[in-house]
Amino acid sequence: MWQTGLVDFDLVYERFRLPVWRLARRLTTSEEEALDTTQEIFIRVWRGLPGFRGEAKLSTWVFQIAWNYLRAHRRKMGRTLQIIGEDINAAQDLVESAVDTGPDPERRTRATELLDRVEVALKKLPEHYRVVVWLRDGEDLSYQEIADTLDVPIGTVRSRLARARGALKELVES
Amino acid sequence: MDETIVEILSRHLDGDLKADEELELLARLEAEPALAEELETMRRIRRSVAVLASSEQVPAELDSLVDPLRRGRPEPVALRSWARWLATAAAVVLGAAVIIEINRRNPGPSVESMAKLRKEGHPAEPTERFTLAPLPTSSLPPEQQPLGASDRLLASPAPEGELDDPVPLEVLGPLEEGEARTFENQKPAGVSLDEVQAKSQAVAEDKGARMGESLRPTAPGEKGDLNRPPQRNEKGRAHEGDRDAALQSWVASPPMGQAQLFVFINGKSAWRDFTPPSTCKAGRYSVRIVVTGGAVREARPVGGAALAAPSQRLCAAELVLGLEIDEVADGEYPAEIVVEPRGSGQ
Repeated sequence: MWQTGLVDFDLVYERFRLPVWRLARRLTTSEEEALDTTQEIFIRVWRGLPGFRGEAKLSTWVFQIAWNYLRAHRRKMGRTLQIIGEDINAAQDLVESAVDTGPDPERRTRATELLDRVEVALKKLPEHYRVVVWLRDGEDLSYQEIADTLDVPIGTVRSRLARARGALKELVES
Repeated sequence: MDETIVEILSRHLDGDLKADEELELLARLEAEPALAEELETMRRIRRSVAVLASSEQVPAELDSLVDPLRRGRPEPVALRSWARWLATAAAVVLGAAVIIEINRRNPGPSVESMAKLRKEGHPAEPTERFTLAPLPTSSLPPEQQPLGASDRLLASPAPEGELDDPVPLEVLGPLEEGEARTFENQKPAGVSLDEVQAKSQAVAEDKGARMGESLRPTAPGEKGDLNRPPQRNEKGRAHEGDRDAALQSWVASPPMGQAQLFVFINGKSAWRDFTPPSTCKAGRYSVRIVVTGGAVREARPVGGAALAAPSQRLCAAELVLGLEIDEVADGEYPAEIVVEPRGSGQ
């Protein structure tokens, strides 16, 4: 087994392959793109592991790498993260203008209506709302871990998560 | 719904409320069924997100893509994006290296050489450059490199493929060093052409002189003045017949749809008929090629139609390219050709 620094890459990959893949899947538009970005993220994890000394939680460190890469990737691909206002109405405007990519047909057959609606609504949600909802409700990260991952104050996480949930609810009910 | 209460509900779902905040919220929920319904909706959505996350599966392809990393290889072979970027970067680097190497080997005329050319009577600044050739392979300094590019050009057969007409260049004979090599402006058909003046006697290379047509001699001209008639040289009179015969063909209008190219190279002159490429008009083109230090330094259109457009100058330059001067230079000379604006500095 190949060792890099304090942590073995193999273990990191086994532990985080699914969360990183899920995050990439949520922040990209296709499985192909998600695959590409996931492998790029793990390349960066692989490169960074020798320097990882455990100052941060491993999960935070990995998600930081993932988020930073995915954000840069989205910018590079011309889908710059939209900066939205601090009120739900402004967010809602952007949500409504987002492209509706629709759920995957296969998933539709096996998912409940609510799941379908939530999935569609998540895709419509602006990325910086989507990521905070996903890290909290999908990956069960704490506020502090989300704050560290996104490099924002914990207060911002609270308010942003509340707005994101409000916008998501509006989308699901629309 | 009020933004503040949304945040309170959100924090309640995450267990982030303080004890007193929780009590206050519970009281409101009991009093406000709509608010309780909002909370329940948010809770169900939250659970749905968790279900979506738990239902996600990693495609098997990811493992194979990351496998090289797991086995400790510095760079995963199978990473598609990585490989694509690497290949692209490699191609760019390779291309840049080739271009840099070509430019390094063929820097073209230096500032000093251009200044020298100006002193020698070619004051115009170049406007377009056409790199023709492989670059100097000789280790000799320029002043020791063998001259003779012009001679070989004049003696060489027409290049294959570049020009339709395989007729070799017609050598009209050398002009004395420093002698003006000048034509009056030439019009496409039936217009007089001033005589080219030659002072030296070397006409042994002359070939293909065409007979039976009259040559109109020109008045003497001044050195360096390409638009004024050249002076006549007594030493060249012995060979005037041959030369005149050759010039006679030049004076005559080119056949319909055909063109003629007249070239001055270091005092020698040559011409040939050719079928103009589609980008060039039928008519006459004259180009002066300057060889200094054993290198073809310039090829500039001279004379020609007074109304010659820049495109025609380019055309003339292309004709020079068609002469494959780089081959004539035999790799010993930097063969960058500089085309200057017609008439500028002349």
